[in-house]
Amino acid sequence: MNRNPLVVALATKGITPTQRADRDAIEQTAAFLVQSADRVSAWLEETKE
Amino acid sequence: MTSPADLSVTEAGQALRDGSLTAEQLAAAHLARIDERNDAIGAFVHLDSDATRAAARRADQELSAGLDRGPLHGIPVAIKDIFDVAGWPVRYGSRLYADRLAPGDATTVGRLREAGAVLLGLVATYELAIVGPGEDGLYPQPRNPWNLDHITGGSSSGCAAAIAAGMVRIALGSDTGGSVRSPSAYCGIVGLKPTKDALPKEGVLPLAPSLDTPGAMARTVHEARLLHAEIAQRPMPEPSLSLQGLRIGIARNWCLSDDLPAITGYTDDAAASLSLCGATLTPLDLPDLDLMIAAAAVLIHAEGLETHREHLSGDGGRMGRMPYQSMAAGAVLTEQDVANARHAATRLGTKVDAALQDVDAIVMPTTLTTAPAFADFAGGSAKWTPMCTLPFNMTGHPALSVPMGFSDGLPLGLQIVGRPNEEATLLRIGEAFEMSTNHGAPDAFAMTLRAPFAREGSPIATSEEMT
Repeated sequence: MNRNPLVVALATKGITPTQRADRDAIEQTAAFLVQSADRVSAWLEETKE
Repeated sequence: MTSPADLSVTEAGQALRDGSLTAEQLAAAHLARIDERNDAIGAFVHLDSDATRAAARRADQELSAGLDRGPLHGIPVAIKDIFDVAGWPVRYGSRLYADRLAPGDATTVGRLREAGAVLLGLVATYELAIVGPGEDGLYPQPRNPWNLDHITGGSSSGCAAAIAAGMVRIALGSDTGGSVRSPSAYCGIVGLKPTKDALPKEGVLPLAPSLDTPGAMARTVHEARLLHAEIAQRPMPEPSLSLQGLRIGIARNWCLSDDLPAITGYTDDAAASLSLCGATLTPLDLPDLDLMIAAAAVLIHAEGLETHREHLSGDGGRMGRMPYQSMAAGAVLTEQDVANARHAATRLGTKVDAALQDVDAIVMPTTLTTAPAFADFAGGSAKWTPMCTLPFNMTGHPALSVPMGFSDGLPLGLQIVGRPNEEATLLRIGEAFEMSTNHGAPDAFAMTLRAPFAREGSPIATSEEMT
């Protein structure tokens, strides 16, 4: 799936974290969310009716 | 002598009607209990004792005049700090709203007033009902009354702490991913997440509108039933304590935990108790828990970002770092991700519906650990705490958490899930379980915490991922 880099995705929403701790934590949660979205997509594909 | 604050809702109601207690005396007993214990726990964040006493006096006058509004007439209730109460500083636990006063009552709060309940005060929430317990919200987060070094869970942290510490019997909470049920499990109380859209949400801070719901929290299942009946404006009949004729599934594939392997045994013991009450137990498999959490996580983050987008711009300003970091991450999700998650939610909900064709309810642990220690979150990074709650916000099925025992002195919860709009069945099962096991109802303060309460409290500076 085409997905913008995180920094671009954030900027698109007007979100511009300035602190390193914020960027690191956002990156960590974003990675979890991408993994989650990919898992859902894969399941839908595997079980397509 | 028993303090009126230790009476159950039903016992207090009887005393109010036989003239041995007044609502004003009852409110005064709860206010005294809060004065005694809240400094150590930190559950209540706003009290208006004059208004509380005035409401109690009105309740007394009405009863004297023959106007009886029902089981909650004259009964104190605590309100989570995201439900509007006219004129009170409902601030969502956030510095973003430090000066906010609620313009009116949330619909559920109005229903409580109509039922004659006495509003006791506002109790803490994780900031914006998202993540916590953060160190930079509007107030410190409550401590778990069973062990002050442990979190309560959230986001209805104050409701659970206040009830477990004996400061109030019933409280109005909210649940987007487990925010009623997980703190209930962690604190050894009862929490009901009703069917999607069963309760009105006007006047309640939204997070993820497709998942949000108010919910009743209480010391016992019986009291949760009384509270739910009033806020749902739906009669909840006295249940039979026999479960004869009920079929209950046990979701074996959701009873496994690397963090607490013994959870399987606890759940088996709970199932055995239900069987002794007359239910027929059947092992079954639900859809993969991690898959359901993945789909729900996409939805909660995508919707949370849109709900609070105004405050997320730039670096989030005065928003606490945990909510900011969690919701900002939702920006990575695409429209296709969200559409996929909604499609999966529908299909997974259908699978749960299918499982509930063969049984009347399904049981599993509420959480897959006891309440983590604050120290587990040292460093401030967010993380998921394993639990079985989030999937049912996504599918909309009602779910009840009841105390199921203790591990190393900390409570565990049993989650009972049922068909849409069959809360009465869950409450029947929960009440029978509670009566047969006696896991619930103790006052954590009285049971275990007199010595720890005397300790100096340490500052709370931790985080927990979204519940």
